[in-house]
Amino acid sequence: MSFPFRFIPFLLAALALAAIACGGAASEAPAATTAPSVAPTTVPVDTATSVPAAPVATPVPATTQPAAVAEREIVLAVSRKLANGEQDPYFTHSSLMVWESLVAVDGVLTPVLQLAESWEVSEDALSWTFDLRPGISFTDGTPFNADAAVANIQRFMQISPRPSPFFTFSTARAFGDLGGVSKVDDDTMEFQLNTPNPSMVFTMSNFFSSMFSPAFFAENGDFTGIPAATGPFKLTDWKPDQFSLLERNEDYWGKKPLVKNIRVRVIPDSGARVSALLAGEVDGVMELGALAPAEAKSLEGRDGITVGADPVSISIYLAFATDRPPFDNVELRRAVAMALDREAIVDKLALGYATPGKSLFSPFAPQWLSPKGEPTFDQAQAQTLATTALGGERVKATLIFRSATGQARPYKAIGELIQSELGKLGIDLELLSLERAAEREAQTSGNWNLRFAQQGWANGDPDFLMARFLSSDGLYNKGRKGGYNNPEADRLVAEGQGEQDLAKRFAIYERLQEIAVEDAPVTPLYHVHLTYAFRDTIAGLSHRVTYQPTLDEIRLVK
Amino acid sequence: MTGYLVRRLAALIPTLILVSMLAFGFTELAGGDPAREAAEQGDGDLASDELVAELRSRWGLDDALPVRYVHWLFDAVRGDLGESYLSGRPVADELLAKYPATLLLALTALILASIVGIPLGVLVGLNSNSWIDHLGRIGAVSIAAVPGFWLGLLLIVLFAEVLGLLPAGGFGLDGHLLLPAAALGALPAATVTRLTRASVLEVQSQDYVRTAQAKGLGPRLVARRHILPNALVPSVTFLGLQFGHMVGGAIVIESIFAWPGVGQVILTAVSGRDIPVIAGFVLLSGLVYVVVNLAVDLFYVVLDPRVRLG
Repeated sequence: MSFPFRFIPFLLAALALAAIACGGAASEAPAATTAPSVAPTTVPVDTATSVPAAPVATPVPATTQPAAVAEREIVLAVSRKLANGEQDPYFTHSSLMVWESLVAVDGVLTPVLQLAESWEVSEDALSWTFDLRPGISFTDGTPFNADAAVANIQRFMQISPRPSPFFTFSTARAFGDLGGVSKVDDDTMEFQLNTPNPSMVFTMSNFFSSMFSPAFFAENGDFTGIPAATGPFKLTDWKPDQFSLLERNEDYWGKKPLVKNIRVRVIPDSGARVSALLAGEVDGVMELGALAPAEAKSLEGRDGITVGADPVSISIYLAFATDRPPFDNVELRRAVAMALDREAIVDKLALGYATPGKSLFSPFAPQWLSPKGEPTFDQAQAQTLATTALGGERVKATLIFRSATGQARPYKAIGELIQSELGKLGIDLELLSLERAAEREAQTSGNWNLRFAQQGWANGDPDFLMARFLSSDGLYNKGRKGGYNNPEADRLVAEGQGEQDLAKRFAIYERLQEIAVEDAPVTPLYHVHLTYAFRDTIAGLSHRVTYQPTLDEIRLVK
Repeated sequence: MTGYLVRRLAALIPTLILVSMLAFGFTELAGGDPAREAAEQGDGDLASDELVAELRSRWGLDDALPVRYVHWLFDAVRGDLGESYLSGRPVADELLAKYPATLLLALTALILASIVGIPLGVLVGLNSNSWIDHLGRIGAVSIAAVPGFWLGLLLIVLFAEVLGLLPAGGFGLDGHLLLPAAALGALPAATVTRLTRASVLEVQSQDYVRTAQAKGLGPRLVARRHILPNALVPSVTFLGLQFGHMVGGAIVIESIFAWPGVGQVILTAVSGRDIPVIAGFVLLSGLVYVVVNLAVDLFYVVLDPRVRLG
């Protein structure tokens, strides 16, 4: 055998090894049991405006089979994994619409009944009773009733706290000081709290009251496979970081999805996602992080491509370290908040795919929004305030932000714009870009003067935001060393948590929004629009304010 | 030979202990709190100090680093690499499920680099200072100058978006494998071309080559029997050493091509300070690296019968 050919056996052996290795990878898929799906969509039941109203359920929508059922599999790309497996508290993200919850939130972030039919809270707010929607079964045939619901909550109590790439589960953050849960009758369950929690229907919404068939609960609280649930879709197969395969739940109790099969592919790289869309490999790119503003702009006007930008309940804020120089001076904080050209940030840096900061609350939940909470843009007034605060001196400050946010959150560019504005006020701002864990450590150790904060508000609970931002022991002030301490704000936050009357509650939050403008411990920069795109092969893709894609409304066009 | 193999494999143990110690130590030095990273991994999620403290206590993160390392080591010896802080899944399951895809990609890239780089290097070496040589050298330098991730994006745009010939990403033994392997193997291919060319030029001037030519052997036979076997040793050494780097380099390429290897897991683990996953990956990579280098050493015997191991 002449020499070059001597390599052939080795190459063949290497190829054979590769094939074996590949086989290993391919066969690693988790057991593809028949499972269920979810989607705490806005089920059009009752809207519970104030905390514990006791709504009565509307009749279940008729189970109508769509006229034209698309059989072709629709392929949609996402930037992150939406299924996380047996050890995850919820197995899948709510975006896959596989599971449903006792309580969800609607399009303006108010709690709505989903698998519960009504709720009732005792006067001392220690006991919450939920009537469950009758006649619903999980996709494995197990009936959804009080036994199943109690088993779900007990599982949550067992695994708490349990980290998740979606939302870390903790009984305390979901229900407060939960003493126990019990069955009242077949369709009624009761939560017993050790301390009152009037906001429980907000805090338990979506993920934290998701329901699964108890037949899939392992002894240690993990799932034993893909769990059955009650949503519009079933998860029939998945591979971590690769794909989730959804199939319409033909026995769904509500309005059935229009398409039978959806494959959700994970493509982490944004350029590759766009290429896959343009090459026709996927019908659309969706969900959080689908497209950066620049990518959305570049796709606009392309033949056969529709670009969408839907407002979602995520906002970007600028937070101040209020207990140390230079921003322990309230005049200086107000000066900075006034000097920020939020319109320019949205137009030039978010390329129009955002709404300029209106309030600490998202403007997409207008029921809590007050004009008194809107920051003013007045550079002349800002200059006057800064001159008074600094007495003509110049000060130094550091703005920290996360480096790996790419184009989706152009923190560096925004930082440079702010740096320029603050320079005029007499503040020499240093921009410090840090990787994720280092940024978090800098936050929790207080090594910052200004920082960007991205805050989601998927549960719509006004107390959730106000306590974080303005309470002296809130996560922004204690955990993240913001240091803001205002007894009036503390009192109002506490009152808001206990207030049941809607009008009085609004007055409390209106005053808190006003305080946020006066004291500026944190100021809104912009409210995010989720940018996405799809080909003319499908229609009906958009995103709800809780950033869930409308998988149940997608239809096949060609 | 057996004694040599046993000694090499025995040397693996201290190597793996050392690299796993370094993985633990460097992760600690990088700062960040693994418990907080796990608790706040959701987009914009914030956790209370109490919740973080509970997780720290559960995972023994309040113990001193040496204590944690020794616990981990004892478990690892028993085959238990622990559970990921971020996903909760057993680390061994997570890595073994994904590592084969990474190895497949790296191996395919290596094969591509070999079957392109070696013949090309020989061709330009045997035709030194001709237009073939100039063209080959310019091509090799140009490819070596393009970063792998950029080349990957260019390949996607050209072959998937414009020509529609190959998929832009995803897993498969068909066309799915070709673009990521080409992106990953391009730089080694260019390097191998240049190395092989240089070796061929050097070997051509050796006495035994002149002797073979003087005996009247034809140019093809001289090249095949006398030049190539001797010229290939540096390239094979390079490719063996390169394999470890390619497994590392595959992480970026995997992300671009949505290739379901270990890359995404490691990127997430590093940014989330998921120590059990990082340590497990380092252990596995060390093992693969050492075994591949051992295989390369054994391959020398095949290439050059004068080589004796041990």
